[in-house]
Amino acid sequence: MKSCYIENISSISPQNTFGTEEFLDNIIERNPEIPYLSAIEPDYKLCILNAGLRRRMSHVIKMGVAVALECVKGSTVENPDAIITATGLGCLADTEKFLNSIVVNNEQLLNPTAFIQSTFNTIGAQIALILENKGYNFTYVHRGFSFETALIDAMMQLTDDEATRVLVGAIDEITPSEYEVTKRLGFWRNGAVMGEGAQFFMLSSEKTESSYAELIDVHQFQLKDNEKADDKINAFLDKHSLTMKDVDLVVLGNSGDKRLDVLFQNFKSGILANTPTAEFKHLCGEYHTAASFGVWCIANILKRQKLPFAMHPNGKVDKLERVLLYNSYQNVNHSIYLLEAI
Amino acid sequence: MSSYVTGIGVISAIGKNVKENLEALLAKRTGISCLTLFESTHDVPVGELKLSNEELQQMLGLPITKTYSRTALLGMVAVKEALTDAGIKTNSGLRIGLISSTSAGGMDLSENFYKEMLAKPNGGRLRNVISHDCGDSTEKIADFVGIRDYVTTISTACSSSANAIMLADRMLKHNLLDVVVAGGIDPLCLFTINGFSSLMILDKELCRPFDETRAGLNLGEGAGFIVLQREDTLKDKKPYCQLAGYANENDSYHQTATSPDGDGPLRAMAGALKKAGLKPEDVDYVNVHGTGTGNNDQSEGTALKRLFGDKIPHFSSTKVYTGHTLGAAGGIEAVYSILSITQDVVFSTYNFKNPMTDIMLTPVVDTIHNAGVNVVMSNSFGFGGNVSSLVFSSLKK
Repeated sequence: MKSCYIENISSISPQNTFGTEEFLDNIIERNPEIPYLSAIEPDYKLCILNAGLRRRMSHVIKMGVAVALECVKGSTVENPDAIITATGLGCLADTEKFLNSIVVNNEQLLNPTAFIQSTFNTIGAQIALILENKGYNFTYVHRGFSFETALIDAMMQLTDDEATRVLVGAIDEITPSEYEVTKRLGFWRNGAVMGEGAQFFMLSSEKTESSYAELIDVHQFQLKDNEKADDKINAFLDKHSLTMKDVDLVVLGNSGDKRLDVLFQNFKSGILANTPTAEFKHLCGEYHTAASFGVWCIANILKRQKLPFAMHPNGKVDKLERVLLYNSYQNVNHSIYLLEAI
Repeated sequence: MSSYVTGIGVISAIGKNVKENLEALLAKRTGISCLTLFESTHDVPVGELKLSNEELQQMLGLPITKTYSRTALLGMVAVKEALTDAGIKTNSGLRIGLISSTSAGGMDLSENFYKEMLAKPNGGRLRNVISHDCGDSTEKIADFVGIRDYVTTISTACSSSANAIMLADRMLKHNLLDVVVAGGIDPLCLFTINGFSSLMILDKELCRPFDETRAGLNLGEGAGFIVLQREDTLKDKKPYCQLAGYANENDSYHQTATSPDGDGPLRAMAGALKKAGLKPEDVDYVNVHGTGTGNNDQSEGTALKRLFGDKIPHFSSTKVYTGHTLGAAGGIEAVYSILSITQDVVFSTYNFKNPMTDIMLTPVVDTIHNAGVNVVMSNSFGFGGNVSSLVFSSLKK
């Protein structure tokens, strides 16, 4: 694949990440009254100017659209050649709203708005409508692989010269009933905290002075038949003619779940014993596309040459030129990302 | 370089495999009938597969005690058939991927869970909600057939599986995989029946694509998958045809409606031909999106006229047989398009009577045998302005 540069980034998350120059300087702790990490939302009137459109948008659509528009605004183009979105559960609140109306109204005289907006590609479509973008428009919806495939797709677009700028974003929202259901499923029993957010990236085939980082590769996999995560990491590095010694920092997508985090504990005492590590999910919470927050952090780390204290750095960092991200969603979907400083 | 189609698999209201689907298409036998497998207050005809989940589980040799979404079950049938047809063994050392797509995911189960949860805060069986997300069926299918190298899922409404097929070709070209099974699935469920009903685009009778009297679509269910391979992995296998070209565009006109001038559909069709290195006059048959809604057929018809001028190739909508299977439509109709090439046949929109007065286009109304089919275009247009076209060509072209 050709080089792929992160030209601009944007995020709405449970931290102060939107419309600010700071980078995880002042950490927002979870409100003890609320069992999950909710996104800190901006005044959407300032981001989504069309009032009629904005009023119809649900929380997740507003988050996604606002972040996407912000990402485009700070890039070198007015419109990307392609828009690719990733989401685990899509427009969940609208889905629940329509389900609710089916039951309550016994299937009669239903308002179609929630149904229309419940479609998984609504956010990508709304961004295209607002930007009057007529290009390629895909939405990936595969758990902890959604954002990963979106990036692979974008890298193929850039390599094939189908596009020079691709807007890639990941969006997921919390709804109270989703929290209740996942709580019953035991997701939050062992220390992980549920989160939400939207991260968008303008990927470019060209490097500019203001580029954040170079995205070298993304690999997604499942561990089947006793396959070892260590072997997957080594094979990935080997493909790029690297060893762990060449990596300056590994950002880990451990969720805080004591049971699932054994994988990451084993990394730290094994393959990563001599490599500095950092974490991010305690800041954004766990969700299908939370890895996008990790990539947002790494893009900032590489551009600013600064590793925030809030990411729990572990080990001495000599330089920040090559960073690996290892993410796991529920120990089912695993992914490795490699990014380098410009 | 384009990839080759080496296997096909399909399940729909007109049959549980390729053979049954082909027989029904040739015999002009519709699968549109009354809803029987669950209750709805809407009295609308649907393209329902008359097999319960239990029957599908038995057919697949799965334990009856376990709960699977209908999405996963339909997908397992079609993916298994496609892989078997291609003669691909999942332990052959080839890197095999499954790129699936769906618009409803595991909604057929989770809508029941939600109903019970609404009635009682701790209500609803968890086994009915764990498969809600779209990735669940893909992972279940991959496990069932033994695909382990790559799985992902696309959801772009009614263009979903056409887009899955595009991604498959691109991943093969980039040598990220050797073989890809790509397509899509959607089950009938209350959520979509009520959704399309609330939009007032469900016809109370059999849908009439491209007909002046058309009054909406019939929903359907099913799954359609194709096996794509690069030339270097074909070995002795003789492929059915090539995936010659494709394009995905955004109409960028309205969240649910396609532009009246057919601008997006035109760009998708023209883009697919350009990628295939073909001209409009090379197309022998267009399997149109042709849902039977006022908006789609007017827009698509306008786009057909803009692209093909007065030399409109044979075209038909096979949704009169299957209903509109939403996320599965692009996959099911890709299978039908491939069959059109391999059987040298053009399928019909058999109930067509009156051309739209503003468009005046007439689809094929009777099956045409020995039609000289080498190049087939398949259209899939979805919510969010998502418009996609695929072009398949025989190996002669």
